[in-house]
Amino acid sequence: MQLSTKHIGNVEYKEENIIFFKQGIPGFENYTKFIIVLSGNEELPFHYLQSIEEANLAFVITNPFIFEPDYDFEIPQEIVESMEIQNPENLSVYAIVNIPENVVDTTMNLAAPVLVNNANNKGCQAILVDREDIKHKVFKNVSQQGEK
Amino acid sequence: MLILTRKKGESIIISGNIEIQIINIEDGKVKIGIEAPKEVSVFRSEVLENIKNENKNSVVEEDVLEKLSKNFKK
Repeated sequence: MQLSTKHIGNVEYKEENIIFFKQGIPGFENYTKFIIVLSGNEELPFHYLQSIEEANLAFVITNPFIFEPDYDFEIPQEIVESMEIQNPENLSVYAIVNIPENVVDTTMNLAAPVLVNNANNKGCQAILVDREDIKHKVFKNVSQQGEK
Repeated sequence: MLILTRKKGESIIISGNIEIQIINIEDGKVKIGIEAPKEVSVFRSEVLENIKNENKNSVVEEDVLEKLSKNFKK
């Protein structure tokens, strides 16, 4: 199937790659079907979380552990149940990235990671009650990437 | 909206298994204790509001990965 977006042009995807966000994403509760569009550049660990219902709705996501190896949280029990997480090995963790005008100030939201259960393609943005780092600087630990 | 008046130490029960107790009232602040099953999520409403706002601010407007890759070439 194909999607025509304004930011990355045409995107090809397969039905089996659709991730279902039953409750949508906070702020965008009406959109429940997303795909992950890989950056296509192995050195660039950022990807798009693209709505297939609204072509103009997409977020940049990253693997937060690349930048914060000590990042750790407990998955709220209600999410373990609603996403039917039986084996944590099937779980992918992403952080939504905010890229401002000055890209060096890019942040990621560690207080509300996006979880995807690869066993059943269920996804959700978990809200972690005990964390407040909604705007966590991405590049502070990656000095070689901070220089042009 | 249902509005109930409660004094310090009193509580309300929601759907049989969620108890909300008024622990203390002081200086215009109310301390609330919540006892709920594990599968019920509880958080301050502004937490959800902040995350909604951050998500809205994070929506992609252009091919930002292109921009990132230009700026972070090794």
